[in-house]
Amino acid sequence: MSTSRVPLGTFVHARSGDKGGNANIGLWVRQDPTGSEDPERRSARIDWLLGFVTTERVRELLPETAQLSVVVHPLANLGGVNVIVEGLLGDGVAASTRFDPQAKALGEWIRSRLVDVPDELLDPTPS
Amino acid sequence: MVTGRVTDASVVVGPGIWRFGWGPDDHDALAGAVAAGHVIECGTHATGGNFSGFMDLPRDARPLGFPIAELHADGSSVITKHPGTGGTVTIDTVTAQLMYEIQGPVYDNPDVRTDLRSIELSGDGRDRVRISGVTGSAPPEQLKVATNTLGGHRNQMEFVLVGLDLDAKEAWLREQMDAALADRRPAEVVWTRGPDPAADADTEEGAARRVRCVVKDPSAEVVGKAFTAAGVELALASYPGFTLTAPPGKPSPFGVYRPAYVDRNQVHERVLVDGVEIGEAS
Repeated sequence: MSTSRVPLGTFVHARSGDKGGNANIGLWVRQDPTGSEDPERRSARIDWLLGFVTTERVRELLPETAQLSVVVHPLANLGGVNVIVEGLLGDGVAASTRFDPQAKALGEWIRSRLVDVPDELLDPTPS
Repeated sequence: MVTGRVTDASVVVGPGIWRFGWGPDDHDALAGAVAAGHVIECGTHATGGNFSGFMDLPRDARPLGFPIAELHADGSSVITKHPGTGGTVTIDTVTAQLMYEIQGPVYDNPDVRTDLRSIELSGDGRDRVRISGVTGSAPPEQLKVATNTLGGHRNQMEFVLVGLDLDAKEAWLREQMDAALADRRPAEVVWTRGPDPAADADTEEGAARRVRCVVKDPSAEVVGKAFTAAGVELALASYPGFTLTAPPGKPSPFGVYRPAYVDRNQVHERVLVDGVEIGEAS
């Protein structure tokens, strides 16, 4: 199976935020806004994402989380997963010294990370 | 409707209970209302704000429209917005908000536990998304309490280092600051840095590394002038090209948030209208 190294966000959306001292990232496969979507490919993308996002993978993509508890909850009905990183934000937004103390942009960071995606899941590149 | 502090979704669940006469055992309807409430509780977060698919949005100066939840008796809803406003409502914008600030597959609310895995989203026309199929179960025996305590005071300075020998400039700065703070060192001193510039940058900012020092202490005095003076006094006495991104500021107090839990039988709700107590919450 051939893959290409592309940003995770190529067909994956993210929304991140805080819950006290924990950070939370939702990752899910985008829907084509024009409505013309191959349902089989979407289903294949979701299956890939559900298998791809694991604790180890998140720790790899976000080195800052390497020593923290990372739990991945599947939400297949929404096309993706919810990731909880415990303790990333210390004692909460007001006390945190972290750049981005509410993890507002954590989702955009992980979307920018390069990952190996099977070519069959990608839009064909114009020649 | 005016209330004291309630959960975000309750602002939708409450009117739903009133309008449709739901009882405490109508878990599925309540769960549907919680889902609808969670979607619209952050306003434009559901209509294209903070949305990673923003490249597909019409992007202009119009303010994004606020979302509306059309709630039905069975707890299903349609999320939409006023015509003519900015942004859009799509399955993805609604999913973004469903995914926001949750703690796993079950979302707890004082009235019901909502199973997020049961939610079905479907298009219902332009800028209309239907939420259906939501199931719920009995709420937890314990209610969540948001506690906030005064954590202390904090302050920060951001130093700009430009050009060559950045590691050495930073090392010297930190050594000097540590020495200047030695007499009354703040309880917490955290140094972080921004990205490193590429060599041979053709703008000054492009040649810069930002180094941030954040301090926290129970005492405002320790992180006040005692801290900022230490930094400012290095302006003529430290690395070449010393500058700050902001003038020294006053310390600010910060709170520490911790969730706690209390047995729900310890909590007695009372409703007073014009000072007269009405009914009794079950």
